[in-house]
Amino acid sequence: MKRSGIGAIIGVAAASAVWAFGHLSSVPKAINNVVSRRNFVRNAALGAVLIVLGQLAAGFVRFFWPNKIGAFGSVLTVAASDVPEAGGQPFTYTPGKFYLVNLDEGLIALYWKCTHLGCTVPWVASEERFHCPCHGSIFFENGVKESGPAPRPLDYFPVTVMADGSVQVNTGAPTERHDFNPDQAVPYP
Amino acid sequence: MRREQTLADRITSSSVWRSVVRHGYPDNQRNQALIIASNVFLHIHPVKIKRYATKVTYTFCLGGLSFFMFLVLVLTGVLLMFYYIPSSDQAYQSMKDIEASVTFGQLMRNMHRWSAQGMVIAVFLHMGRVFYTGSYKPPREFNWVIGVLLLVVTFLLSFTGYLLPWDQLAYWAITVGTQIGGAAPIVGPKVDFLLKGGKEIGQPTLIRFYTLHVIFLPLIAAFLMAVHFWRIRKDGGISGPL
Repeated sequence: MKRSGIGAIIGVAAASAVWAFGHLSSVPKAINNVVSRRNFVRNAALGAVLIVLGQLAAGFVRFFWPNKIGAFGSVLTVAASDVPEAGGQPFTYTPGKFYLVNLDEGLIALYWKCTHLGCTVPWVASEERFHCPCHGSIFFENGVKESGPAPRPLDYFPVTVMADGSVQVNTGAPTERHDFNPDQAVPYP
Repeated sequence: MRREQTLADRITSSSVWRSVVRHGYPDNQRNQALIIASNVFLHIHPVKIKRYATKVTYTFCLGGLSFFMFLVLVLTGVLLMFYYIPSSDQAYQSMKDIEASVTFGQLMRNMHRWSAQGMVIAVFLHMGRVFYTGSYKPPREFNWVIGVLLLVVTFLLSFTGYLLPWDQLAYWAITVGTQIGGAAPIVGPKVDFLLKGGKEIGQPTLIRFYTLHVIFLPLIAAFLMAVHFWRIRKDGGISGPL
């Protein structure tokens, strides 16, 4: 789908390039503005070369977007045994850069990146808060800011509860929010 | 008769265009020669060649094919380097990832592999052609020596590249290869150690072969090729029937 889109763009670009080249051409135009055979053949040949070069360039660009990336950015699974109890300490899942928190409303996976300037925000058990060491932003257990310079609550990742009690977290789709509402949490049996 | 100035005329008479293209339309011999002589890439080929040089069946363009495959290998090799990890833990997996998870990755890897095989064959046939046509004779005897060095560099590039997939085939091929080096009288054990970077094939061997393969040997090859091509011109152009 994506690739055929690129192909279509190249096709259109090449066609317009052929058209433009015909108009740029300094070779005298045939009488009555009809494209001469010489121009047509020349433009067709150059256009064919342009299409091939365009495809090569597109392939060259496409090569640099791998179809597989590391753990962070993909859907990760937290084992049922690691899911915290309701009201328990957040579970830190390092490969996914998130905390899995079991609130009264259900599970929420908080992206540990501070919404201020991107530091990693640690859970400080003694304060029962997320406390950013860089500029002192403090967040409640549900990720909402208590104090500090952060402009919004911690972002969260979509959570899916599986039949066996394990939890899938899509670390490729952090969601921004300005407040906590219960819809953000997923009920956990 | 003055004709209307077209957009193309305005572009080709601009100072930017004229700073790059320093010759007129190639409808006379002077401009035709200037096109070749004023372009760093085109000037590698002579402006004029002897009539016999157009006879393809004399050389079969085997040297040109070797050079072409070297260029393919440089291009595909650089692309592979964006994904290949020269670590004994990750080399094999990154090679599999290039094949399975990178768009055109398998194409690039196979082009690299087949061009490498093709280059060895082309270089070998090129050498045979030069020998059988007597093209190594004076004044070309020095270029024959450069060519022999290029053959050795081609073999070394092929050999060092063989270890990089870090699979069983690679491992045992390099085991055998380094043992052959180790069988040399007196210096054998030293050669063996030098190639492996240790007593066994491991991470030090991989990084040695990788560095040799991606930068050291290609630089030497490029240097020798520059001398090789320059000497062809200095020794009277492409060889022909005596």
